[in-house]
Amino acid sequence: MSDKAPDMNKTTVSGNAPEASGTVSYNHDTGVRIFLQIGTCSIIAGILETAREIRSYIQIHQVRAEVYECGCMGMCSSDPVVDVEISGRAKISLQKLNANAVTDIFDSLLNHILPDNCFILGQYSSGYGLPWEGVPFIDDLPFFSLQHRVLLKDAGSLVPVSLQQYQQIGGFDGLRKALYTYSPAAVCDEITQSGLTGRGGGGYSTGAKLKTVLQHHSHKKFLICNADESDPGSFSGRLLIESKPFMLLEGITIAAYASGATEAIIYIRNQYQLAIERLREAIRILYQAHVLGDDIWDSGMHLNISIYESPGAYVCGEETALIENLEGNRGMPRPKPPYPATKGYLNMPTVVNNAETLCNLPLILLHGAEWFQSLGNSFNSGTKLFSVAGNTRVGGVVEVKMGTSIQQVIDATNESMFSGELKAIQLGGPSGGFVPASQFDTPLDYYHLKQMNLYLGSGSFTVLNKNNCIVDVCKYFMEFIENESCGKCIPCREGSQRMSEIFRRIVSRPDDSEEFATLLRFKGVMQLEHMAGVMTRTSLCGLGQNAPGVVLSALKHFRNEFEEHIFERVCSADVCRNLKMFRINPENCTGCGICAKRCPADAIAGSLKQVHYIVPERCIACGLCFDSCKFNAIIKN
Amino acid sequence: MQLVFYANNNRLTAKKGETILDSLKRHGVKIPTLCNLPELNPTGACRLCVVENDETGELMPACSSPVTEGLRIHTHSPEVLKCRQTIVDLLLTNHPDDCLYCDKNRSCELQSLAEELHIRERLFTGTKKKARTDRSSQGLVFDHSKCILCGRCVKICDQIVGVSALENVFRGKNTSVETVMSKGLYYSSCIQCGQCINVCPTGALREKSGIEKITEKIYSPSEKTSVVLSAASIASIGAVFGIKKFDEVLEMLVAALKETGFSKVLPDAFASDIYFSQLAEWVLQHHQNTSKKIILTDCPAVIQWIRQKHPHCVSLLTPLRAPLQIVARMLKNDVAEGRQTVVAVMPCIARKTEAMQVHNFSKGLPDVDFVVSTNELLRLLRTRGLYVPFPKRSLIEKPYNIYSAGSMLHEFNGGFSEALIKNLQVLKGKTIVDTRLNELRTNKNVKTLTVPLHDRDYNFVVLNGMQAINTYFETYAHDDTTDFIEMSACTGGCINGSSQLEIASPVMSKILLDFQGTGLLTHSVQNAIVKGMRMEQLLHRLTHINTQGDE
Repeated sequence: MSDKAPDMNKTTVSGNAPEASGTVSYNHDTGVRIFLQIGTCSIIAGILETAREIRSYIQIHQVRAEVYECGCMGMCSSDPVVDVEISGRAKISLQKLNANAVTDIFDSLLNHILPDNCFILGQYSSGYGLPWEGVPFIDDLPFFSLQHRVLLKDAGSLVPVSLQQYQQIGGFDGLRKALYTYSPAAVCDEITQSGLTGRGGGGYSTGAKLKTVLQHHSHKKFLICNADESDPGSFSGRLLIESKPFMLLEGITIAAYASGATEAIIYIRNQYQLAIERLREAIRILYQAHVLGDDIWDSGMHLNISIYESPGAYVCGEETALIENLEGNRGMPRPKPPYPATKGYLNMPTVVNNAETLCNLPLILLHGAEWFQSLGNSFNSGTKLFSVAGNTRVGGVVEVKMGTSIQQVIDATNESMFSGELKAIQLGGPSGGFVPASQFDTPLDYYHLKQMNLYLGSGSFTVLNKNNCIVDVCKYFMEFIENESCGKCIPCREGSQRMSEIFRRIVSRPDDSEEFATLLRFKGVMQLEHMAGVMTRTSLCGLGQNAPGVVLSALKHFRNEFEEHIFERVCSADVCRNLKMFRINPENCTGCGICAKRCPADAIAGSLKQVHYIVPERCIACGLCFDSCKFNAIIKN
Repeated sequence: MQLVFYANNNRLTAKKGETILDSLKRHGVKIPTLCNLPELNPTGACRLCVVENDETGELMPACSSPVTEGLRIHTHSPEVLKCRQTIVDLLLTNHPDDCLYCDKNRSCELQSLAEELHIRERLFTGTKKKARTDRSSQGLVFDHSKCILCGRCVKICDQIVGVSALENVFRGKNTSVETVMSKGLYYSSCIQCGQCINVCPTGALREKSGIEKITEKIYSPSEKTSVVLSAASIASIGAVFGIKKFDEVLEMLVAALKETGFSKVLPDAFASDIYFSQLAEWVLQHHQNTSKKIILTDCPAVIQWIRQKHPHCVSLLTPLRAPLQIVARMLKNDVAEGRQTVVAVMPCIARKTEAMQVHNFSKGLPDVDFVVSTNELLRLLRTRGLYVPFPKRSLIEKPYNIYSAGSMLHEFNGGFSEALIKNLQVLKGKTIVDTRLNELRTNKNVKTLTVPLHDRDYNFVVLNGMQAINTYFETYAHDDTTDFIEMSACTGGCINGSSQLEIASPVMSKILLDFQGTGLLTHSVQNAIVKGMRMEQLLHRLTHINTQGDE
């Protein structure tokens, strides 16, 4: 290996040796620099319009400014976020910057006057320039201070498709180290030693998986990066790829080196167009820079990376269904064994790894296994991304060390605003389950969650408060499975249909005329636990096996809500609309007729100045009449 | 290498790589399954074959888990039974409750499974699949509401037959087995081989029945109704009811069917003689002009398959009409009898499509009016209160009662080649018993044979079943050394057709092969009636395909 010493000049695009790794360097003396944080979520929030407005502002006012299109830092509820650095002042971050506000804000900012408070997120404490008075430092915001950002470090300030910038923060140093100082088996051992486990939900040791494929003799091996993130409520992988595409590609290259794969496929869902666009550009740059293709850096390693846009079915996140789909078949899981590590894509040994897992590899190689182990607790090492959504004040992607308590993630995003009212969190989407507020001190790692029969899934973290009905959430996930099951195995396909039906019956309108229906409802509920058990034990793939987990954990922790729905026929969260009934109290009704006018279903009858009446059969329980009555004449339930 | 494992605490052995299901089957332990097909990759879709691992307590599918050394399993533990019952229960919830009206009543796998697992209470209730029936095809009916999505038909259509007419579409609760763009089987690539009917565990895929119309025709005073029985159907009935002699089964059926009201009952073996002797003569003529390959088959499924997939090979087919069609046109041309309806009892549904093709029409009407399967024949008798074995016997009418032993070869894969070789030898005046011909009667998928005939050595390739046909056409399509390719869609030939009562029964083949021929007539060309007909002008019209139909 010694004769192939790393040649710095050869490996960089520009030919410049990278600066001391850690920060991205800019010339801080001239003009204004504007950093647009562009990600899919900010595009939805309107950053493209804002960007257009900013560019025309710069042109009209002849401002000497540079505009950079950066990645997104993952504070999705504040989008669109734009960072501005005026020479001599600290970089300030503006939030919720819509196109209409651009002119006013830049007028004041360029004159060193702070704009309206609601647009200011914080300022960076990078040490350059004079800090703004009265503006909190970004790092002091609970959202950032309670996180431990390793993967997402610099996510908002890097230009995603700039290889130079990626190298400035230490990019491709891990790969260089792997290629020149380690053998493939040693890379596997290093990864095994680091304790990295698959972040897609399985929690299987990544090093062991790579080693299985490495030890398998075959003339061709494949590596598939699973970026088909299809859980409802999970978006961390998308953010990671959009903000740091090179990191994923470096991780893929390391994994390919470790497993002996010469062909890598990124299986990414077709809805992630921005991520695909940036990945394509990054791959093109890497081929140019000789980091991909034949004989990478003269190390004798070959790797080609291609992108496959997946049709976006939930079941295609399952590795064997994914492989079936790649082969051009209908995406249905195969029975295991044989496992993909021995017989996968085109019957060749195949590594299938989640994007987030692969992104960890460059860091492990660069900083060593001990460093990675120090990040987690004794059960799991490293960090984990969570997509925090639901009833929180701040939503977005949170990265914490393994073993951090649920409460800390809630503190980071909730900023102590509603924490008293929180009911539960839903972890892991359709294959996860609920954690009630009383157990918020549970450490977030695979071991402790497994104890509670929970799977992390791909890290969706939905916060539920007293305005969320658990039965309704269960119904949502069961209907999701009902529609997304591949339809191959009977327990999953038929079981999910019957379970959805039971939920639909629980939340259906009380109807005394049909006694049989009531009987069926009770019978169904009695079978719920039994059926969930059979589905878990006999389904073919992870989708069906984990799907009843939501229901089982809900029954365990929130049995009272089920009983309330079934016996009392009320929904205390006011979500299940069909359980609501409205009637008019004749004593209070003045016959003003406002409710009848507002009613969208023509369910209120009565002539002016006469007592009105709600026809129950027509009422859709929207509650508009209740809100509009000024005399408290409408009684709920 | 032998592996040792324990099922229900019994020490059993398994071969390396064998699945639990296969191994248990060898040891006589029955594990229920609805999706497994032997010799095809397991899909693991039905989950009924789960067995409990004693050590881990997990349930593993027996069909796709290989036996490992020292494995300990329980095949019928309470937990396993509970899961199986729940799965069958879930299927029944989404299945129409019309067993009494179903074609598959008493022969349905789902029904017998529910009975075996002793399901006596409806655990779940819910909405059922929408009733939707595809009747577009001439031979098949696809009742979607009865489909349990086991995937057997999809697998066999794709991997064995190789036409992929059926595929799973949509997801979740909307999953269903559909033809291309859900347009119906008639518009799909279906070749009517009927393999899917054989494997369907429920009444979802079944043959189209025409019994009601036939009953009407039998009682019509103005028309006479004749029925033609194929040799394979006769053998199938004989095998099931334990009558070992071909003539005896036939005479019994003649008596029973005459009782039903048919005016004429005859076997198609007579026409097979005509077919084979015409084939031999055509080959003699044909090979003087050209050295082109010849495809020996009258299987409508294979012919349809060639039309669809290899249209350039259509010219290699022989220009002869199938024996059934020959005899049907003879019946229709029998002026003395007046107008008559011809019903055929056939071993497969492809003949239903064949009867509707224009070259099998005379004066704008089909020669064969109805084609029913062996199964339907028994049903027809049952509805008339007649049961097999029927006590009476009747003789077959002239001239249809004379047929050679060679005519029976029509029902076997390899039989066309054997009949051709023997008939050519007889025509050339040298009858040599050639032991090499035994190769043609084996169960191999591809049989090859080189035989010296009148001027040189001829190469025969016999393809047994659609899988062999597909492989051959993919790999050896341009092989010019072959002179004759014989093909049949069903493995083993017409005797194992999709509508037979039993498949791959050795008794059935024995009945046909033991037949010595009327008056010990061995070869088709020796049949005196056929010899007598050879000079007739009519013969060409009967036996040769005229794409416009007969005038």
